[in-house]
Amino acid sequence: MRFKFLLLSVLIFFSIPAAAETNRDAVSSNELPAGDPFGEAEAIISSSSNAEDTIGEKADTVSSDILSGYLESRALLLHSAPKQEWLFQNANKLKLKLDKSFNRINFHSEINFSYYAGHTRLCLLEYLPQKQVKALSNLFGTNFSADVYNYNYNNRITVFRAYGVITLPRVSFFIGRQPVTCGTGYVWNPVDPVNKKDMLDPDYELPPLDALRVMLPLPAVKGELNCAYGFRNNFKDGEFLAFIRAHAWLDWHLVYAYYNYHKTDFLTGLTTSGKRSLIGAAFAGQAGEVGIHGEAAYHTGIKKKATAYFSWLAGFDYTFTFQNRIMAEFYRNDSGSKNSQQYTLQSWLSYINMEQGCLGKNYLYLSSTQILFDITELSLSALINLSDSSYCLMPQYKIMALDQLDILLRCMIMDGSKGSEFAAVNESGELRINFYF
Amino acid sequence: MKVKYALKLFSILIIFTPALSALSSAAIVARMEKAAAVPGCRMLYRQVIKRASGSRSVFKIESFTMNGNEKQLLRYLHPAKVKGTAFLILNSGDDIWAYFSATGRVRRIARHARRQKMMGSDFTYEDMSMTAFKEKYKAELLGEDKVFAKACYKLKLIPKERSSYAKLIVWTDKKLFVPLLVNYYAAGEKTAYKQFMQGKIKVINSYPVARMVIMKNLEDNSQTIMQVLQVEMKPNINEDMFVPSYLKR
Repeated sequence: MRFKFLLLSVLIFFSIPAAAETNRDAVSSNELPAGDPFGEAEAIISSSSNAEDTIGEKADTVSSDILSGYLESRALLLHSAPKQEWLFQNANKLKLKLDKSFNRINFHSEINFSYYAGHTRLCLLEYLPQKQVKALSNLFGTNFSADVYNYNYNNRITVFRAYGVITLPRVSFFIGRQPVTCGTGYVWNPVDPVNKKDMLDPDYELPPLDALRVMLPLPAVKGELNCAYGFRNNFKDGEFLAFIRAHAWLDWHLVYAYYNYHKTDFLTGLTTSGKRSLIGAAFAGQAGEVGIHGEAAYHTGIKKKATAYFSWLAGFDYTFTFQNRIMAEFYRNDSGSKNSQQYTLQSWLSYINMEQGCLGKNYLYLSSTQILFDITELSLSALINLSDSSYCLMPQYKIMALDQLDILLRCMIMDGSKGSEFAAVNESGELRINFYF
Repeated sequence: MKVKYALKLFSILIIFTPALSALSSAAIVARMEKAAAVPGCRMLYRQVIKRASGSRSVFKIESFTMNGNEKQLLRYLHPAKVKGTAFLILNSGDDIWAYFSATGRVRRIARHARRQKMMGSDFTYEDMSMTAFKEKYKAELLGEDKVFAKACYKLKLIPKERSSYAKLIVWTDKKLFVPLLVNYYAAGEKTAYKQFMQGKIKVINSYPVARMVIMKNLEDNSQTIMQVLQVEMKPNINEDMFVPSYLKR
């Protein structure tokens, strides 16, 4: 009996590793990699990379490119509805980036060389509803080709960014021409008085601010306090922007701004300036699996010279398992007009000159982006002015096959009732090629 | 009588010895986390993405990590197209922020978006949380096996939270407790659709560092290779860099 028990024990002893072996035998051929994956990977690397990157480079020297940039060439085709003709413009930009890092100091600069060909003089009146143009001609007769109504695309060299960052243990200083952004919205940022996004191209680079910015970390809210002073002609004309950006629980921003506004009277050509203040808040987080974001801002006129108004935004985004991302954003701006009947020549020209953020009161943005084969992206966006029921559809196809090249093909199909925002230009198309170096 | 008891005791010992010598799944997972818990580290990687079409992209990435992968900062250095783009991954992948140099904005990546591919590679944002085994997965020891000629523990990991994966099968080195091979399974699938491999392991400052990491997408026939070019252990790494505002610098 005891020998049987011993035999059983020995069998059990040997059966455990045997079971493990059996388990391995049960593994499908798919489970374990075939061949030598690391040898194969090395062969891929050696045929894909430059020889200078070898293991054991001195750890302190990161071989990052100091000088880089891109050439952006845009071929734009625009259909002018009032003139019933197609206009062509070739807009090019050579951007040179120079970055250098020292121990506690980083320096960043960007210089843009912009040059244009084709239709380079844009008469704003050609894109206005006939009703507005007639009102103007009634005032001034047929000769209203004053410079204030024209925009010339001139070749130019711009120092787009040039700023240094000094990082100390409890404070950082950003000095010079720099990007200053706040807010969580994609197309609009009511809390951001500095940057004015192009609604039809919200991803495009934003102009900088000449400023001195101090950033203090706020560990209690996992964030930081930013205080920026934007330089102007004299100290009292300067703009001030303070915002707390925190990341506790969800991302939220609290913003206070004291900023300049300009208003041009397009009938007399006179410009008046003033100050506004802004108090705002923004957040980004998630509700279950859905990403949500929102912003709200209250703008007041200093010394009651300008009317106060409220603007807010709410949006969501979601990514499906098949790599499709959808997004929606609703924007309300109380300074806009309720319908196209309320649009005036003044509001149109202020809007075109970016003195006024938008024409209408209510807007909706919808988009769906699908990544195809990892190297291309197909998207369809719609921007709808709910106040005047006009819309702009923007199908877009982006090819990112090469590390040095991006190709973007997009068109804009606009429609709406007479006098509405998107009725003046019916269609436009763009081929944008970026060469990176 | 004494002989009888001695034999019984011997038999019981024989039965339980393998069980005593083998580690439990919880102990293995704890050892895996300990092996990965590098206090502070800076690495320079070369990343090569090889797509099914044969086209390739080469990136250079600088990474800073703290407490294993609890806090990670990744910054793309090359090519110019993505230079400056950076990711901050906190709480072992629960919170991710991205900074895209083209737009100059820092954006939080929502939970649903973590199934997206990271910069076109075969890694998703979710894959970046691979080291928090105990917190994120329920582990079961399947046995022992050999992978890349190394003795391994074979574990089944079931995500505790909602995940793109239904389960992971992990082969972890018995000596170093580094996961050498991870197979990813979709719900209802018996065959893996993604495969993660780590090799060329070198022990630096008593921590095993994989100098080559491969993520293969077996469905798409694409793969992403991460080759370590530099490793610098930084036990006193500055925690201040692991904040979203640092991404812009």
